[in-house]
Amino acid sequence: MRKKIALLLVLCGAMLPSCGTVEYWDKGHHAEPIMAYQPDGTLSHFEQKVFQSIEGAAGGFGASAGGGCGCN
Amino acid sequence: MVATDTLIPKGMRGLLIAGLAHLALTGAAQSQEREPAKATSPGAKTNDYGTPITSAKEKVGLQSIAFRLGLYSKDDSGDGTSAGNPFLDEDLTVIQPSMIMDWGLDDVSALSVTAQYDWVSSASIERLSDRTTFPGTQQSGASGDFYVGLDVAYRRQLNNGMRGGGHVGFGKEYDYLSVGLGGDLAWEGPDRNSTYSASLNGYFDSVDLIRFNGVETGSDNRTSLAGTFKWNRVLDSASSMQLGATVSNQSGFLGTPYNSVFIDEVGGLREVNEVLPDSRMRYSFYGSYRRWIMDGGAAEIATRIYNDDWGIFGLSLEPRWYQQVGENLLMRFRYRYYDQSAADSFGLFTTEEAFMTQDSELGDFNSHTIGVRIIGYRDGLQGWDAGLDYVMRSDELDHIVASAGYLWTF
Repeated sequence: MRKKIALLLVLCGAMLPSCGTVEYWDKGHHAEPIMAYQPDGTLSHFEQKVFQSIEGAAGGFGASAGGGCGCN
Repeated sequence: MVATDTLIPKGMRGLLIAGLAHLALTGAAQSQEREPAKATSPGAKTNDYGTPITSAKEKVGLQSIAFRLGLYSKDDSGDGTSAGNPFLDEDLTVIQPSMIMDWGLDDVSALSVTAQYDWVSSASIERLSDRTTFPGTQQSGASGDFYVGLDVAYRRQLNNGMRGGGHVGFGKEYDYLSVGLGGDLAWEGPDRNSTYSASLNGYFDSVDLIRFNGVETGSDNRTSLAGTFKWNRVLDSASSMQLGATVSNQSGFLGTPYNSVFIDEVGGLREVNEVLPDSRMRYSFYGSYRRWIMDGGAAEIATRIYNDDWGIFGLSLEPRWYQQVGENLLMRFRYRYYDQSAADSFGLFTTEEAFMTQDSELGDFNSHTIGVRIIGYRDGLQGWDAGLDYVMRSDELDHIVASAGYLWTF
């Protein structure tokens, strides 16, 4: 598990260094469907509800982390 | 499996999460002013900043209706008690139709309505009326045979690059009523490469305490308050990331009314009500990184760290691969590893204690999820999708999760 945590921290760190401005003419790849983040709202709604109900963890990406249902 | 809580001391977990949140915030401060971007790829609709539009919520004036039919099923294999909680049959099937309608009111405001219905079939319902068929088992899993929820949200463009909104909703099941409300603010960074959002949500629930043995002990309240901050960032010409953090507080009756605990006494097993603390602080940090790898192929890695003051520490790691398989068709493949430590109050008991639970979702387990989803596009907008996930848990309480959706944009 220590290795997993270390790997996780390295991955998080790898996200951060490239924060320079990207000009619009360099964003071609981001317009492709394979790079689109926003899924159909019903899909994220469904997946968040399912995984919140079958795990002890919740929240972090917009889910409210509890409330609104009879479970804990 | 090595318990997570033995590897990271409790005092360090909050520090770890706070540190990651700090990195997110300091990175956000590095934004610089630039000209707005234009649409960059034929066939793909983008917003004013070059980000693809896949939902009507992304642009006021674009209207849509989304339908989804979801199913998830929990299989307490074999005799119904061998997986998960050994005292309970935890079989469960939920079929969930839902709908989200986005309606542009004018050039600067939009209304969104979310409606959902759950049809629940569970071991708990079957056994309530005929407990002699499965002696030694009790109800578990779902708390009723239906759930209905409705939420109405309003969103308004406030100025260039900033929008705000609020929502109010309710949920109803046979043993509880929930009222929810909240607000959020989203804005673009000055360099047009970042999007930030902050939201506050509250849920105010009333729970009827119908216990495992059918005894009703009145009702109680539950209040849940949550604050979430999200940051989306284009990192370079081929990669982007998302970071998010949620802090939430719950108070009131936080148990599941029909959950019971078996105490292994000298005279045999004795069944009593589950008892959990009446407050809970929860912290979670989410991050994902996606990179365009080749024509028609992109990779993503996502992770979440979770901690609460009930003693649960959860960690997920999820690599995904997005593959274009046709002009208007792509597939998403994913694997998800999840590991959590048990709540302090979870366990096997020989005497009654102040807090006791044997709820499998609060126990110590890990899971491996594999899933595939196919997504169809029309005119550069997501049109339909269908997918299946299989969750393999270390306590053998496996799940199947499936859904199909259709998004009509007009």
